[in-house]
Amino acid sequence: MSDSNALLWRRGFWDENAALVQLLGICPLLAVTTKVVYGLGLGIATLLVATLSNASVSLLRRFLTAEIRIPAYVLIIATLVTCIEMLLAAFLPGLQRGLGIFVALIVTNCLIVARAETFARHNTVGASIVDGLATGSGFLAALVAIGFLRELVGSLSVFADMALLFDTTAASAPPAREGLRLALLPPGAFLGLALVIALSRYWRKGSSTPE
Amino acid sequence: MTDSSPSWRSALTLTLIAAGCAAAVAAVFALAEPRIAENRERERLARYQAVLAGLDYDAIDHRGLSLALTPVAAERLTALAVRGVYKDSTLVGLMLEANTVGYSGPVRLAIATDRQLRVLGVRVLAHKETPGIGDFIETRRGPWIEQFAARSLDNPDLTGWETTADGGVFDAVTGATVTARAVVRAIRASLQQIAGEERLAIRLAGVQDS
Repeated sequence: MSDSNALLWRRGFWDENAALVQLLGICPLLAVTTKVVYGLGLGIATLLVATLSNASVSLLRRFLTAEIRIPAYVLIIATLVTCIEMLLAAFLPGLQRGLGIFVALIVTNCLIVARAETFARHNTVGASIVDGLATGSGFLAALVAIGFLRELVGSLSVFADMALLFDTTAASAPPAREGLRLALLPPGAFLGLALVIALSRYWRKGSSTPE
Repeated sequence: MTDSSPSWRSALTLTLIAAGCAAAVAAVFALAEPRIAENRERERLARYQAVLAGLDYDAIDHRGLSLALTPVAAERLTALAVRGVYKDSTLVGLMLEANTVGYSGPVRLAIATDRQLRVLGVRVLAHKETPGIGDFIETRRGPWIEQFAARSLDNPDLTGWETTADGGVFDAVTGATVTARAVVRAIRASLQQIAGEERLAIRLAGVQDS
């Protein structure tokens, strides 16, 4: 396949956005997006796993026969996630505590195994890395957008506790003000997702060229 | 595909991938583990500070002294460890770490008392209770856990050491009866066990910081 990088980016980030178009990885997306910082944290972790797993699968693609393909994906992805979780616990324990189980659950995020199966095993390492970056950052952008919306409405704050992303000793503080609590609860997550999907669709419609 | 038994080759490939993955995890573990342990220790000390509020102290035993549970305590607890809290090398309080079982798994509590076994404060160190239902025992969810401050085995008396749902004085929580009951009874059982320990101060001297 000889897709240009620009096309890979456009497709992974926007046209086939994992969260907003394919609706993959919705469980962690709904669970952690109470604040931008959590969305960003999980988004970066997912982006790293997607890129590295794509790179590894592509690198090993000649050796991955049909019978061992799936177990190999599981091994590779589980290894990456375990490593990232340990590094988070070591260097950003505040963020790790905030994200809870959802870092470990990246293992089960369909978008990662989907990219390995449908893209990385047929393509070169370079293209696979670009694809992983594009898909991962598309997911990240969706997490951040929903997190921004829910944080704004639910806690009346923007970008609270961002120190969790780089300060080893930071701890999250309870929100200073209380907004519409619904936004922080699970129903608010669904409404936030729906709203962001609707907005992105409206945008797609407006920008699509007539066929 | 040739007939040189491809499944053998596949098995070998998968074994090599597994070995590579294991090596990667081991390497990252070796790198991260000391810092993870350090973070855990710092977090433990921070929580100890929160429960010891109001007590003038300058040292806590580095390790806990695990106690052999009495039958009464064993009904409510799975483990109990105690650390001495000191000021100028004099024992001024106790830091108990009690393990019990909540609704959906183990609950670890830090219970600080003064020398007369009056509770200074209680904090949850770890739990697996249902988010939104059983996690009221955390301070970030509410002040429920604060109600044990200044309580002791004779305030209230033993029958009062229950949740209001069981006829006691401590707030029950609708929908989380099991969690609230487990925590109240674990604290009571811990105090009972400690009250029955003989020569605790002398045994604690053996685990003091050198």
